[in-house]
Amino acid sequence: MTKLCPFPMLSMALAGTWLMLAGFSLPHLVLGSLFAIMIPFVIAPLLGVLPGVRSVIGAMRLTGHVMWDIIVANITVARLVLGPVSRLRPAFVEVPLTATHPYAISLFMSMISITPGSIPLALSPDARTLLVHVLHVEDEEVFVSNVKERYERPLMEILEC
Amino acid sequence: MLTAALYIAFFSIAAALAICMVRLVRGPHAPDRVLAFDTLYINTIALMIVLDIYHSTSVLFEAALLIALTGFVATAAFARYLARGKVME
Amino acid sequence: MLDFLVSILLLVGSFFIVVGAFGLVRLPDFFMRLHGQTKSTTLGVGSFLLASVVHTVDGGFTLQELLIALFLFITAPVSAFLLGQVGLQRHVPSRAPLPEDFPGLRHEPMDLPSRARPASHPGD
Repeated sequence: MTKLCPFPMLSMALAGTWLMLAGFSLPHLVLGSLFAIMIPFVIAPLLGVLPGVRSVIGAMRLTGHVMWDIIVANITVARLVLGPVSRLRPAFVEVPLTATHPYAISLFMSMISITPGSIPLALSPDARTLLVHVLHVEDEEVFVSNVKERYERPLMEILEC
Repeated sequence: MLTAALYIAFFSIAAALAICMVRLVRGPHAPDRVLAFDTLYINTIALMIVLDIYHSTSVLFEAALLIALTGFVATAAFARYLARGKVME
Repeated sequence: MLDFLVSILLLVGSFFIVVGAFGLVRLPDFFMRLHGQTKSTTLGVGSFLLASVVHTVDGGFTLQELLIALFLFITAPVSAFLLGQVGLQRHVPSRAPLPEDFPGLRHEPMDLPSRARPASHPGD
């Protein structure tokens, strides 16, 4: 089983995407499963070591948290953009990373980026520090601890790394 | 009521596209223009979705997906060209 | 009832699309403008897509629209990151002081075909 399907999560995601795109029917189920088994073999050299998922419930809860944060942050940023621009205090903030796994770091960066108001712009070569541009920051310390507490800690609890 | 909401959506997307064009023309730097282009294609995707709702079809869905795919590749290629001076090596 | 929900989602999407584009002309420097783009992607297009999913319920349930949302949510951080790197490398004028000592940043402004006017841009 592990020989035939080395990345079960990826295969399931691929088959699901195919069915969403083509509509659910038996021929597409067969074709989609075929692609889902073959594609991971082709791209396996690019993937490296995929981290395992420790708790699916935790992952769902984190997804919900991020969605909620997207809505809240969007409203905050909309108010900032429509308000007086001269009052905005943008800053480059350095966020020290605790996570070491490449997939954990890239997920963390995506979460920071998708919640408006902060965008990661660079990663130091030793992958220990992240450079984040924040649209409006009152206190850098609070921002750093907030981001690490909300996204990085649950991420490291969910992923096996 | 739905028709009114659809017209408001059309109008806002048109306004957003016009504003993006202003940024695309004014620049002042190359990355600003690429950013305007990026926002432009995202707004086009939004326009196609609203058109789909307006006509109660899903024929434009594939077009929207294609714009999403090619738009991302184009932005990545632009950014790479500006950063390194070449796209492929 | 369903039409009401679709209308609300359309109005929310319109608002955020316009605010995102508005930020693009209103904010004074490149790095701040980057934030407008993530906003129109996430909530603007997101709520339009949700409206589309809700609307087609009567005609036959499709989740195709969610694929676009998924794709945009995956690619938007990547393109923002790539564009930000270009801005850092080229020393684009910025209100926040540029980080000069961050490790791994190449700091030579490159001689590339850019017709950027050197003076800082008033913004609006």
